[in-house]
Amino acid sequence: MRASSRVLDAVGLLARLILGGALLLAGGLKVGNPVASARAVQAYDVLPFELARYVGYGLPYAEVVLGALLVLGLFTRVSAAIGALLMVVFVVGIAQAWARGLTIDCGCFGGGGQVAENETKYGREIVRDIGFALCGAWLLWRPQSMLSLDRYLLGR
Amino acid sequence: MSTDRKAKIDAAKKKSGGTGANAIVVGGIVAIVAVILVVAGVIWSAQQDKGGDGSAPASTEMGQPFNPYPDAELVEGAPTVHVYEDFRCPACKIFEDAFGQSITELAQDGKIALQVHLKTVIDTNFNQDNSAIAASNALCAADQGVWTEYHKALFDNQPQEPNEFSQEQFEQLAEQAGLSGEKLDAWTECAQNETYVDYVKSVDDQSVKDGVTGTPSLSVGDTKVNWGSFATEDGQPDIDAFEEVLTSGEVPQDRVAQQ
Repeated sequence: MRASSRVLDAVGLLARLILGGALLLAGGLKVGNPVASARAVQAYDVLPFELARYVGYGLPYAEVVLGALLVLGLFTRVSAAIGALLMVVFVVGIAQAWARGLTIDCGCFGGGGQVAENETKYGREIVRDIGFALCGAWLLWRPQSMLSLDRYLLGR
Repeated sequence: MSTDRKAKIDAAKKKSGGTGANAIVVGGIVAIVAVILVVAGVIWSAQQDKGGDGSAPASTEMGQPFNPYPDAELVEGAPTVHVYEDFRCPACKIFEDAFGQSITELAQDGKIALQVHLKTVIDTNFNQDNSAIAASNALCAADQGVWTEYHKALFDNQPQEPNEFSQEQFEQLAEQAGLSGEKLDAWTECAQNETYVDYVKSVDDQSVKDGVTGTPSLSVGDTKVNWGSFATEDGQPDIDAFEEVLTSGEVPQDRVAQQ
């Protein structure tokens, strides 16, 4: 019983570090370049132009905050739920771009915008984001994990 | 061991006066900090990316393209040709080297109505503003009547991506373009004030809104042209075919750009 709960806690830690680390990296790489981030969101051609601009401005900061909470293991369940939801939104965004024949880079870790037809990586991007979403789903189901502030600070 | 750990956790719970209240306080603080951070980030970003209220060249408006040859007498039915370019984009240099002279002559002769959209793709990619400054300086040169010369000089001296034009280079090229005396002084003042930088950014914004994200891009009327299709088999530009399409305003199906 004890051993298996330890293993599950370790899996929780791994899920936190993967999803949280990815969000932290993705947000951190985009934080300094608001124009590029705005253009990357506008390239999906889903939201109205001006709204897409502000989503582009805010997204990197939201990713950094979420990523930090997950890495620290604070409010893991809520953070993981939002993180997983974000990944699902990204998957939908990339899939619609693919389906409509747009040729864009996902702009996930900086970059973004239009690319040549043979430079799109939609399949790989979607599989990767689904992987991140699954990490979030695990934590939603079982938020307990090793080395978390939830445990040390809140005694959860 | 297991009971030990449980006891410790329970002790911790007691010390912090139970779990509920504590979690709500911590959660509240975290939520407030998170919201402040994201909102501050959006405000800072908007500040960085602000369009500004600088002026557009006299002949045009914010967001609208620029006609470098307003005095050209248009022949009847001259098609409107849109060129989207960034002085620091490598493919734009290839385009300029191949077709720049053609476009200039056709526009000067009034055989096409040229509309130039100055974009800042390389600035966006590398978080810089040198493309916008180069474009502003080119418009300053247009104010002094040397658009053609300065435009060509910038492309001839294009720094390797993602390097930037230096201030000295901008000034040197202005002289090379034929400015001196009062005209050079006027250009220098215009350039130093980054007079048209906000205008250039507004044009980039509008062109993205209109679906033109990359450079160079060429449209005849409303039809986007695949300019790469004008390369002959030995890699040379087929100028005759190019000029035929531009002046007729009719783009054959196999030269229409995808999307």
